[in-house]
Amino acid sequence: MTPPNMPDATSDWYLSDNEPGHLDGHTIEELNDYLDRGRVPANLSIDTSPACQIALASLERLSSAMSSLLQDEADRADVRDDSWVTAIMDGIVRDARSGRDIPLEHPSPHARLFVTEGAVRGLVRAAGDTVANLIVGRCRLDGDLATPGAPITIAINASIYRGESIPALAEQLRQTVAAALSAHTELTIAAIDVTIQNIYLTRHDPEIGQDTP
Amino acid sequence: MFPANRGAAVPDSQIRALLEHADDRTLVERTVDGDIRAFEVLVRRHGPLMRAYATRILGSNDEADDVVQETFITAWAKLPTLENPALAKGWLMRIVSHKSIDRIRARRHHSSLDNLDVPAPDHHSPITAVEALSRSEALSQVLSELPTNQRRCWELKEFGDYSYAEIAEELDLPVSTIRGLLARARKTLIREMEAWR
Amino acid sequence: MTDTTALAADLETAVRAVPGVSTLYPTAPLLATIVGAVVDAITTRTVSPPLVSVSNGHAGLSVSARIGVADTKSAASVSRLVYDTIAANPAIRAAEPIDTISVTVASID
Repeated sequence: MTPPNMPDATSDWYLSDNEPGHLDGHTIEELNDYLDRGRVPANLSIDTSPACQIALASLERLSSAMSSLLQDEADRADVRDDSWVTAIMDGIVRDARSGRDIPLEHPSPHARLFVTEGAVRGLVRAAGDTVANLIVGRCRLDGDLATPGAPITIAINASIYRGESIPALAEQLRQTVAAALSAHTELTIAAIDVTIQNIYLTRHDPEIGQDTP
Repeated sequence: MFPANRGAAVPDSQIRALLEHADDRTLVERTVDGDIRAFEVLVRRHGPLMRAYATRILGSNDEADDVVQETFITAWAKLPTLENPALAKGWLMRIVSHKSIDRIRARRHHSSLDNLDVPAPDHHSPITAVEALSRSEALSQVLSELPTNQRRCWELKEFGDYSYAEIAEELDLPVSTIRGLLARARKTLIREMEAWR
Repeated sequence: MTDTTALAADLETAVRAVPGVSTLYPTAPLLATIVGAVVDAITTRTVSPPLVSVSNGHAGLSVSARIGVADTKSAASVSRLVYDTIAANPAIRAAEPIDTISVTVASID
């Protein structure tokens, strides 16, 4: 029974061309921007309008529906063969991140022997992975790698599981890495700095039910 | 010389399980250091979402696969430049976006922006037929029935987290047009969603 | 003049046989070629360049190899062993002058 173009608080803004008439003078665009800003600074006129509150709730529902939509689609996608991963991984060759060349000693004047920085970082990671309850992240070699005997500092980022002793794990990591480096390289290690950057709250249970020695 | 635990390296499967549990930041750091396995975990973790996104933008699974592959190749090369490794997911989504839009641009040689690509689904089912579907499926259907430009803007905003200005730049349209397209998309989506609800 | 292709193949076999060598990597920088090749990496893998590179320069013969070393051997000693193996190859010994023999350990695992 409402004449056309007359505000009608009982019908919905989204069925009308006259948003301000349904939203106490506001547009849905305004409300959307308000929401995007986290409702700051507070707008009393919006906050006290029942129509606006209902519209804000709709916008939030849409936003939450949207954020789960893509994930749902990803989850629903056929579990296809692994070829797409293989195709990507085959292209990524392992020496693509070799970094600097670190010289190794040899008496012959013709010899140019090196171990790459990338190989050393891989060695550090592999060593770190043997330490239980710890995951190695970044590893950096600081110092003049090109000069034999120059002091090198190894900086390692790692994450651990909650409840583990940080100093004890860090020390274990240091010792394991030091042993690996001295076994494989001729680097003069001045220090191994370990930074614990994250503590995981949930424990990782290896699928194969055996502990790392 | 060789401590016992060095020789007996951790089994590959166990390292994979360990990496699957690691956060993105750790995986990115290891990838930057050259750890291929860490990169593979990132690929598996975020690839499906990126593929869903590229499929939305491009409307084709095959092309989406290509774009996702190209994205990861780029990512491998460019990850060292990522300032905050914890933001890897958004960064990957952004690359997938750019690459998808690039493909759409390439198609533009053949058609105008309005009627290009992505055939609308041939089933224009009334919303009542949708009731049995999940919320996501219903929404997806409504989304697919939007005019292409509205849908594309909306997807870039919602899934690619683009700002209005960035969408305008990607689509070569004025910001005011983007605003209008988004407003119309929003209204339609809410109307259909509320009706379904 | 040395037949570098045959020599490279010969050296590749010899280097692979060195205890502790787990892999041989191509010596050329790869990133550029990867990007183009990745999409059909599996199908195009039929042609592979020699993994030990041998080149003739004005200062003599240069040989280079990039190796992966098994974790159970010291990477430094394996690299020396590979050098010695290359240097002891009869064709190398015959091919004076030698400029450089490069051995790079690119992975340890």
